[in-house]
Amino acid sequence: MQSARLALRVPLMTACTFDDFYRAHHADAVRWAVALVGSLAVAEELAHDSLEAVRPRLTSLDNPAAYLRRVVVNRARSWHRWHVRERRRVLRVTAGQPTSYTQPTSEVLDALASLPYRQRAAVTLRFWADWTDEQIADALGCAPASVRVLVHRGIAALRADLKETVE
Amino acid sequence: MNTPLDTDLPAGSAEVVARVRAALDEVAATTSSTATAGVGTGSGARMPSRWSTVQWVAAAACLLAVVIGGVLVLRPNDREPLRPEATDPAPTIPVPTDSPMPYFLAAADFASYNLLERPLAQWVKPGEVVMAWARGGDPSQGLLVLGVGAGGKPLTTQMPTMIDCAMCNKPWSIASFGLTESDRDDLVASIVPGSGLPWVLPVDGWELFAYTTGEDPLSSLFEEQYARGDDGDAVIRMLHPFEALTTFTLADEPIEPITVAGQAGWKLGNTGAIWREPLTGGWVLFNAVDTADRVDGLIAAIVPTSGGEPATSVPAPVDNQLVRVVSVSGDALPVFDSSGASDPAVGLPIPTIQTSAGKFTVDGPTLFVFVAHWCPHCNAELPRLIEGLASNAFDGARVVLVSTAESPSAVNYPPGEWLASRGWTGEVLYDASLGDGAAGELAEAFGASAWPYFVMVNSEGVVTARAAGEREVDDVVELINTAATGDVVGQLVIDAIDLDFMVLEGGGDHVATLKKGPILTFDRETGTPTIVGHRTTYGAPFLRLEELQIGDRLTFTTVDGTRTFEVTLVDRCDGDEPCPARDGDDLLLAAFDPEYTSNTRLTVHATEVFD
Repeated sequence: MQSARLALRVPLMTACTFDDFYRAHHADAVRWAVALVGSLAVAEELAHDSLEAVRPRLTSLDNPAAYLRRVVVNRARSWHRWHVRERRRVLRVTAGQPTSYTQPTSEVLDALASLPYRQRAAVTLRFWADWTDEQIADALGCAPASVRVLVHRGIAALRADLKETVE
Repeated sequence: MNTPLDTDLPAGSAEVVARVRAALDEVAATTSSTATAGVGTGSGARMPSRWSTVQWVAAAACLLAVVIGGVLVLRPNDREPLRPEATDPAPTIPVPTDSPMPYFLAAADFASYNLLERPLAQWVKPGEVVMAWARGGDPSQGLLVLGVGAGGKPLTTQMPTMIDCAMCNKPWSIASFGLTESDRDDLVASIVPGSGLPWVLPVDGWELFAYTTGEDPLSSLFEEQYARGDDGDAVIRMLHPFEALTTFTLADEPIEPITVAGQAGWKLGNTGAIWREPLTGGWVLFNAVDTADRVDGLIAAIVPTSGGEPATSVPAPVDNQLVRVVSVSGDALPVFDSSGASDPAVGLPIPTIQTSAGKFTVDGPTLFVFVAHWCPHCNAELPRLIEGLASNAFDGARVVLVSTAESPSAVNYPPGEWLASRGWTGEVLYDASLGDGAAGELAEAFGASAWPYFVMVNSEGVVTARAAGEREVDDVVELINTAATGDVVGQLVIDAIDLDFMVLEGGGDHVATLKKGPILTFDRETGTPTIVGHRTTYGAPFLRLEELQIGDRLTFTTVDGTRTFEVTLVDRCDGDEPCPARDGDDLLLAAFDPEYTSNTRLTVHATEVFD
């Protein structure tokens, strides 16, 4: 007589496989990307690409979250460069009248976009994404002291830029 | 997100920052719900200025690897790059600024400069004392190390200020990094005997960085905690419980109660004092205490830091005292594949588990539930498990929640607090992750492939079922029942062969129940009651079954009364199943032979009689 064997099958949509670890970090990655590119749509794509980049290295990384930060910052930098080029081109074409050709923007977002990337990253990651200076330094590849300089300059530049638009 | 600004930012910056925050908040507005759930915020406390009022003077036993005798251990150019990740906001309690502890040493000093793999205590010989001061608290800016005692190498330079010092006539040595010789000599000349401490370097800008003595059994406990603790801003969250220290070190040591800066504590022989740190509930140890009345001047506490600065709040003490998996040995179970028709792990023994509370013993049906704190499905499953326990639906099984696959940068970290806050009061086993978010040793040994992961084990320590994914309470009960052994249903008496046995219901685990006695099952095709029993082992109830003749009578007595049956046929069939029931059969008796003993199944057919 056989002992009863239960075939307990459960569809894996109700379970977290190891891949779901990435989903646990997705919200973070999107938020960091928003800080760096100022657009939710772009941020979602960036976050997805970054997580995919980290995925194959998950088990070999000591600190996947730190690596993820670096990846997000680097990919956002590439996007930023493209965006700045595009923006300059559009401004040339439209004779200085900025148009919202990708998504609605604001003077603050425009001002952020005009900053050199590292200044922008330092300011938004520190004051909005709440990264520590060490985390920012690691992701940007500079010293924590440099981060403070970047923040200082970024804020000063924003202040000048926004003051102009107000006045 | 109310990050205070540096005081050195230009005026008007606050307004700019506020506008930046508002603009980005608007951009992120549609993800705010997920963002708050998953956001890994940065350092919880950003101090606007250095905590300069606190003097870094005294130190508890430390683990900084510093070598006396000239071996260069500090390489300023390739020091550890960064602090580990900050964690999500967890329940915290504030650190009072007027804490009774007068001196503090930042725990970050221990975490960020892990210079050698071997802990400090191994480099320092018994009777040696090592002290190190760092310029600005940062060894890469300048480090002065003083070693005194048996292992030191004498230097030619004299230390005139150390006259009348108890240990001053012992050999001593100096090592320095990042200092010119004359600077070094100047500093050395400034060293004075300190109150309760052998030496103090009372030079502005120089902070005590490390202090230890050799072969202190209590330091090894620190080492263990330190080695595990490099996972966040708080390096040493909790020292070992006093009970562990009691068994480990105090057997030979006299224990005297003392008062340390208003806190009740205990003096440990001549080498230390220990008391309970009120903020975190951890224990603080101080070394090299000579007399009780000097302890008041030497108190130090190890405090968590945040972003390199002393934290203004610390994690609240965890209620769940987690039992940790220490090691797993034996054969691992095959990886669970829910798509397979049958599970090859069923029938296999589970590996041997050593925990921090001793060897894990299976003393009855046991359900292991592996969960990961960040897994939404585990979070959804927890309330069902809690309900199942509370409603006694899981009665008969020991439910062990195994926390595994932890990830410091994901939600709900740390898992102990997560479980406590969700209301789990049952048993917990902590299976340390083998990498950020990766399964722990126990989960791997049990063949985990997804969370939540269930493994049901019977009282023999053998797997009876496995499953993965969320499930209702009833489904969990079904899992538990696979290991259940049945209760008595009746008594079988056959005078012709001197058989008199209690018969059990099959329960979930027929094989296990059969070891206790014959079981009552039902023929699959016809539903005919079938009593199955071992023929040669486990009491051999059916040893003489084949001697039965047609016409022999047997009785089966249950709570409903006694029923009598008459044998109509004694049969043998090929295969693992009893012979099929025939028309007119009201009861079958079948021998359950152990594997590999026979290819035919002895079956006795009987019909009920009513005379």
